[in-house]
Amino acid sequence: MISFDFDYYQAETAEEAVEKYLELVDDNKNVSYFNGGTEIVTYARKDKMNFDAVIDIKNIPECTVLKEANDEITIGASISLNKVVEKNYFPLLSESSKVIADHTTRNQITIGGNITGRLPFKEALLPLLVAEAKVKTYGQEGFKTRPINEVFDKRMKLAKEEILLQIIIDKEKADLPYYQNRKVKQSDTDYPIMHMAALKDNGEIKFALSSLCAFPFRNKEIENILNDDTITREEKIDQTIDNFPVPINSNLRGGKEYKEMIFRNSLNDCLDQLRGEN
Amino acid sequence: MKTYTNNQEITLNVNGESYNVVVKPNETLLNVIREKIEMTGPKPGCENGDCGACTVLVDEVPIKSCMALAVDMEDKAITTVEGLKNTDIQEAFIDKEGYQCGYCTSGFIVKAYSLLEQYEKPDEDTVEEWLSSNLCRCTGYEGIERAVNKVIENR
Amino acid sequence: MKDNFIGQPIKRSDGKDKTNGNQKYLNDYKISGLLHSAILTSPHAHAKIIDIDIEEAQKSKGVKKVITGKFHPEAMGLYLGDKPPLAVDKVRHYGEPVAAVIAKNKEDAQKAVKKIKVEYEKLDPVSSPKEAMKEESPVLHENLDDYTHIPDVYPNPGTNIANHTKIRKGDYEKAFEEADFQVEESFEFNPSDHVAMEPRVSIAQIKSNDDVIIHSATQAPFVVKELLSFNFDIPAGKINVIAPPIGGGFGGKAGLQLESLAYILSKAVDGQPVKVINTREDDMVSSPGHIGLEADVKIASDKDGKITGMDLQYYFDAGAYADYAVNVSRAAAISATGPYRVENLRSDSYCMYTNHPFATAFRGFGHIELAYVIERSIDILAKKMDMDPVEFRLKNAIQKGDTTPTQSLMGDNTGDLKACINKTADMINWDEGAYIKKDENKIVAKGMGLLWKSPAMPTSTDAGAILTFNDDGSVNLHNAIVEIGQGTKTGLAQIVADKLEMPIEKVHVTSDVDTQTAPHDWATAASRSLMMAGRAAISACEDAMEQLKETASQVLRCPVEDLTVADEKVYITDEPEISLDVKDLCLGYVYENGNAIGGQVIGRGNYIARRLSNMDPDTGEGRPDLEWTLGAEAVEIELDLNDYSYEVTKAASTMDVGNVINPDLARGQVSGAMAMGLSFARNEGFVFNSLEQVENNVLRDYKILRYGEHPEYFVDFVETPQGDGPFGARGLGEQGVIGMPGALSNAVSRAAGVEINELPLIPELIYKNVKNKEGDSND
Repeated sequence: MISFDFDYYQAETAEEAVEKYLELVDDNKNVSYFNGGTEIVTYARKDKMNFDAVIDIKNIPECTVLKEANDEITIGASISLNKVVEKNYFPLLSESSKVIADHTTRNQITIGGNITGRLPFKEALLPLLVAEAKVKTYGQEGFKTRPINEVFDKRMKLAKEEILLQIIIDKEKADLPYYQNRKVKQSDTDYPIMHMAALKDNGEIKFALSSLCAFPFRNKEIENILNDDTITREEKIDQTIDNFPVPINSNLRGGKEYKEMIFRNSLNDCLDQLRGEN
Repeated sequence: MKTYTNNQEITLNVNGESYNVVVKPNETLLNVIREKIEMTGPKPGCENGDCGACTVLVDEVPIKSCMALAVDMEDKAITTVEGLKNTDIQEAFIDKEGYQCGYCTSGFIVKAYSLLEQYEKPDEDTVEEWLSSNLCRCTGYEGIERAVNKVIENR
Repeated sequence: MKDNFIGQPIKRSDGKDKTNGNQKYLNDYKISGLLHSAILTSPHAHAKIIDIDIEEAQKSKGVKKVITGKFHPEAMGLYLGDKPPLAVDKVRHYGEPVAAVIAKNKEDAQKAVKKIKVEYEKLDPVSSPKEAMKEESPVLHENLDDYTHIPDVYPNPGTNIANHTKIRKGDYEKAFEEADFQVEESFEFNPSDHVAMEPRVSIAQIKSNDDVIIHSATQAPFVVKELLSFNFDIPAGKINVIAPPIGGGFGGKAGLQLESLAYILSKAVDGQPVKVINTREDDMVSSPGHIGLEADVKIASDKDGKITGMDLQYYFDAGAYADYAVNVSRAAAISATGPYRVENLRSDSYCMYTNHPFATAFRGFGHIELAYVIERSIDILAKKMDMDPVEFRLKNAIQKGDTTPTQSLMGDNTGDLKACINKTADMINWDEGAYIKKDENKIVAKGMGLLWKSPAMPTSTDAGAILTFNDDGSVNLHNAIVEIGQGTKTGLAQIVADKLEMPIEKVHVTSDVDTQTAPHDWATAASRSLMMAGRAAISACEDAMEQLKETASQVLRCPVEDLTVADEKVYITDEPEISLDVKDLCLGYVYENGNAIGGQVIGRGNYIARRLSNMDPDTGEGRPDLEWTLGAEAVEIELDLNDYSYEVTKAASTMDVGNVINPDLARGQVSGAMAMGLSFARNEGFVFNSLEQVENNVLRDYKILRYGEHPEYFVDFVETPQGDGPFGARGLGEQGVIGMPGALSNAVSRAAGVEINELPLIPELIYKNVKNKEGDSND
């Protein structure tokens, strides 16, 4: 059970939510936005998180959109992972989403929560990075729509009062050939030790990775290496690893040597499938 | 905007009936159902979203009630195992040894019921996807598998 | 007309309640005036407690009392009194309870417990049993000499040895000198957990007349009663323990668990009812779990493949306190060799204190641990000799006429282990090959693991049964078997219905166990409930039948010997039309003129273990074993050579259980046990950091077997009757776990082409072993 008290607000609009947020912060209160709640409730129970108030954003209209129109896919931040998978507008996103946690929990985990939460795996983020999705937010500076690759750097760099409202993906990108692979310590229902997502966009590989290192990433240097026709496969894999922003880490689920082996095999597989070379 | 601070009365719709209960925002749906509405079918196994013993349906969607806040659940139709009476899956669990100690059974019944409402004849992969949400330590899952298969076969 | 219920798949009676949410477990009950508690536990594995400041906590809203170890500093234990309910002066494991808050509601208790400030002085932790053996390691229990303990336990004061069981049989040195082949292997695995779905919970209250009432999720209400009585000086008649159906036990709810803590908390608030309930995190590390092991195994054989000797050194990781572990290590010594004919044996089984969460009984009780190391070693030896591992086992399987490690003779009740081996080999299709290359990346491999077990229980273990009648002639069987999921109560109903030759629907078996009204029973553990309570039930039936005949003989004016009780009637055997209905006799018989004779029938039955004896302290010789269940298990896996992940596709088990009382329940017990053994070997075990703190005591990180990961189960039984078993039956609740770690490890080692002697068998471990081997061969 959660053993500290907090207030709960249910916002009906983005403006309302931000206004309340700022009002509470002004009053020296610790505030958290509340979406699916799986992270907040479990963290709060163990006192890993503490707040004076939560603002529930699930009723904000923008957050509940799930549609495909005008060559754009719009997914509200409060859409559950299962709904994302069910509608399957973006197959790679479905693949990356349906392996997160377990089926029941995916009815509660929202795509917004997975991307902006504290857990470092952010598996639903990877397809969005490689598909160059946009994120629509609302904060003190009003509504903003920006490429996700500009907002994400180790984590989603939003202003503290800023709410992630929607994710917008080009239909064209969503239909591109893709590769997805996820590895675990032993049980499939577990945090991963590696999650890889890649697209082939106009012959070029777009590549994103999480769980292998301390945070997810997609970077240009690696993509240049992967798309470089002048070096061997072995060199590609070696140089990719050299260009990780941080080294592969050892943790409860896997040691770095094993994780590296897994990664090499998967990257090999990815390149086979997307670039068809040997 | 709807505001909940400290102890206040909310209305929860559980198994088709309305219940007025006094809750604080920090109370989980699981605890409110068990302590205040006094339905002890959903069980605490971990209170961390890891075991599924607390599974209930909210607007027909299975969720883990230990990770949901009661104040978030007004205006929703909540179904606990107590709301399922004489269903095929419950009978099949009895017939096919789908339970032993029974502690995980409430959660499994709700989850399996929901699966079988959504799919007429779910394939093995779908059954596995859904039911791997719940843990059982006694049966090794064989009895549960047989119970679900029995319902599917009889359709 | 005789209805035979033995061997029938009778449905359990608790099905409806368990599937419609109405089954109540202890935490589901509302008790008026109940107070709640929150327990503060130690973040350190080994530290001195310098100071505990409870002042702020005491002032916290809703708090009734805050207590520390000082409130009741006396150490207690099952066999060895080494642990106070709350730590005193020192903490010896991560998660050890240090202080407790009692409050009106749970939230107030939790809020207050966060305000307790403890000052620790960290000490170097002892990280493994072999480390604990070293002279330079800190001695964790400096007062080991002063602890009271039962005679059968041999602690070594000044060391970390809580118990040392010695087995000496024949001349093992000679056997090794003359051996044609031998293997020498070492194995290890960390402590792990039961993960019963229901966390532990106990409620204690002390009434104004000093009666102590304990409600607890326990497998052993009489053990709780006896230990609380002994440790807190409560007269036996003033303490009553009530055990409702529980959500899984697996040994973790046997012994004395939260009850002692609940009792002292109730005492602290003048006897008001106080509930102590574990969070999952605490259930895993504050309360005890499954023992760990480091083992050195040597097996010698002659050129024909006959085992000539074994040298077995077992170092159990019992953790910080002895609890059941001193008996687990002893049980492992009694069965040290596994079910093989071994005439020359040296075995030393050490129960070692370490700074790990401590161990209690766990399904298999020493046998699952020893079976793992023995079965691995057998496979390695067979490979060395180029012998098929199944052939090797058939050749050395223990049988009638052989002796156990304690030189106890395997008599007429010995099961047919060879038949079990052959059946299991068949079910797993051993003949098609134990190693099959499916394609470049996939290997299909099989592994076998034999099992045996005898209940490790006191020589005076007993069970009782009382049979009373209702006025419709139906019967109530009063018993003290706790419903832990195994459905033994249904088995007992079958036994009674069969004995009395009456419809099974009219046999009502009591559900909750109340020590004040139930007949004494040792505990629902060790797979002996059906056997012993079954014998007691038969005895009670016979007693009842005698009483019925006594009354009937008067009415029918015939000798008692001329009567038969069956089909709810008492009749003259050779003139069956001359009869009386049981319902007219069971509460006394009333003549037409009103005279009443006979009185109510109360059937009394008991059963005490037959001819068990203590063991010789130097050689172990003795007869501690009631009955042996023997069996053979095997698994088939499919290994992916790319990432060393694997699937367990099949699991097979054949056990000789004497007589299968209820095939559905039996299958459920065996497949459930197989799943547990597989889960343990495949993916369980605490992960410790360098400070010996546990890193994975949440189910998010400690993964047990899930739906979809389970194999196809093949279960069969052989029925060589157990002479003293009810209807010839032997215990089978635990045995299914025992062969699994060995079988899985053998299959994985075979598939990977490298001997893996560690658990859990995760892909990364396989990878490391394969790489090491390749590294070796490159040298």
